[in-house]
Amino acid sequence: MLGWMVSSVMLTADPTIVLHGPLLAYVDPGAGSFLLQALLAAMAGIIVTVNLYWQKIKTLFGMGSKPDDSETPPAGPESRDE
Amino acid sequence: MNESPLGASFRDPSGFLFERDGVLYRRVQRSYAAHYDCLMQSGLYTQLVDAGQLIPHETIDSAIDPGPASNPAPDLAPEFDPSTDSDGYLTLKPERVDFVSYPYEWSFSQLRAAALLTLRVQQTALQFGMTLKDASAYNVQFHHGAPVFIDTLSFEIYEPDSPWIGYRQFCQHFLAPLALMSYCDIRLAKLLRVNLDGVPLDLARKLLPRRAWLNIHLFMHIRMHAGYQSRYQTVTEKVKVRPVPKKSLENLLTALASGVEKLQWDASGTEWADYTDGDSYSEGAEAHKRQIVGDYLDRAQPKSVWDLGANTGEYSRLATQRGIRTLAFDVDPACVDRNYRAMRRERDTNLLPLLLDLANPSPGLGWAHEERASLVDRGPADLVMALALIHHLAISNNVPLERIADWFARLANRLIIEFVPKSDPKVQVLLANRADGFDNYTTKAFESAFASRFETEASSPIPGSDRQLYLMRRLS
Repeated sequence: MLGWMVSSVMLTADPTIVLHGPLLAYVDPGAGSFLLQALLAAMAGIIVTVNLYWQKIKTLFGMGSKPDDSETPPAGPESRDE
Repeated sequence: MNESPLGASFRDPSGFLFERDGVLYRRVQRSYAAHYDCLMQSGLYTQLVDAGQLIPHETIDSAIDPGPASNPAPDLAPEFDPSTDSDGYLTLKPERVDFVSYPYEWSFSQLRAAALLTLRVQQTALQFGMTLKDASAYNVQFHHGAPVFIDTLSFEIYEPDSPWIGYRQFCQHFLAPLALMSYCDIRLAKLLRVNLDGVPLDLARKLLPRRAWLNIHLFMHIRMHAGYQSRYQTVTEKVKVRPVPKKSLENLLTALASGVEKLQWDASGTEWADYTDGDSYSEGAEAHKRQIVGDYLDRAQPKSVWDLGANTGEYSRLATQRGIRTLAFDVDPACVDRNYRAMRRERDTNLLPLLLDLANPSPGLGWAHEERASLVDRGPADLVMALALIHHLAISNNVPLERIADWFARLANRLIIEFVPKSDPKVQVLLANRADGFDNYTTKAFESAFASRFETEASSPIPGSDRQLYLMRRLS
């Protein structure tokens, strides 16, 4: 939630700011996806960091999320039977 | 000899799959040579294969082995003759996946596992200076009990500061359907069956409830993404994209993975929670049934089993414990999900749980009906198990016994089938609120209907119940 609040401030920024960087590539109709990605990638570091600290705070107060059992560690070759 | 490119393998100019004498090959075109060489020489291939994340392959030759071309079959597809194909760079022989399954046949946890695998593969690729050029859920298969990336030609040399081309596809193929399953209704997974390039993000935005937007990941990658798509879809001039530094892209992938990991689907509180069939047998009858099914499997020695109506796979495991590759199909997403989670915990490498509505099985889809094969085109199974199933087909779905026999004869060489008579409490439940127009639903009529397609090799009553088990072989 904290990550959301921090990020939402940034998300209100004018998306056209991404258009002023140096020319990298010309893209076709999927342009929206690329433009958004450029914006989100720039923010992702903050989100990742904030999330990390948020999880630490939650763990500190015993609110850590329980581990999910659906994906045990990816099966390496040792788990293959042939 | 059949060497035509397979039906799903025509969009990517880097290469295609073809079959020769029943063996699967992957053609690498010259246009992809630099990328392929980078994949192999950078260490990325070895890293991914060693981690069980990429399907291994053998390199057959630098051109193409003409093979028994001196005796070409008349049905040789004209569009591809490998011996004269000058665009070819290499031919690979990938390890073959036993059964090709599709995202619309996966449970929530399976789709989520495939999503996380795709992100892991992309993260690893970046470390080795490569990137995935697409993020299709169809690039993942379940093989030996785990998700594995199968498209060797999806890797491209990473251009510094370039965005991830697969981002849009990742959101459509994975994030949107997972969010819809998690926040709306598990049945929305079926949207993947009608949208082969994933769920359109504007549709996902319309369907998701407001509380979904409290999830920062869904807000950004679905809601904002849909907004950006609609805003720029009518832009006719080309637009400039700001560079995406590698570190930022890695952060984006980490954030995406975190968003996917947070998505959960819990059957409790939904209509699927009460998933157990609540078998009506006594414990003794169940033990007898297990014994008889086990004996039939030992007798039939099948290489592959399809367990139709498998529930959470209790009887499927009788087959997998015997080392038999087994698909456990069920119509209930909670059963399939529970079964998948259990087989992952158990590290059962022979079992693959899949979603299937037998009354409306997966059809041939996509271009010319050939991109995604129908269920029957992916068969037949050596042996089909239809345990505690026939009353659902014959009574709940009103399918005549003869048609059930016809259909099973297309799916299976052999059959272990349980007949559940009207006197059974389970059938009584089905009949409780409907007019009993099923005069023909008798043991005798069942045996007669199946005798036109199968010969009975063995049959045994299940002590402690009125049910009967049969081992049958399809008539040639």
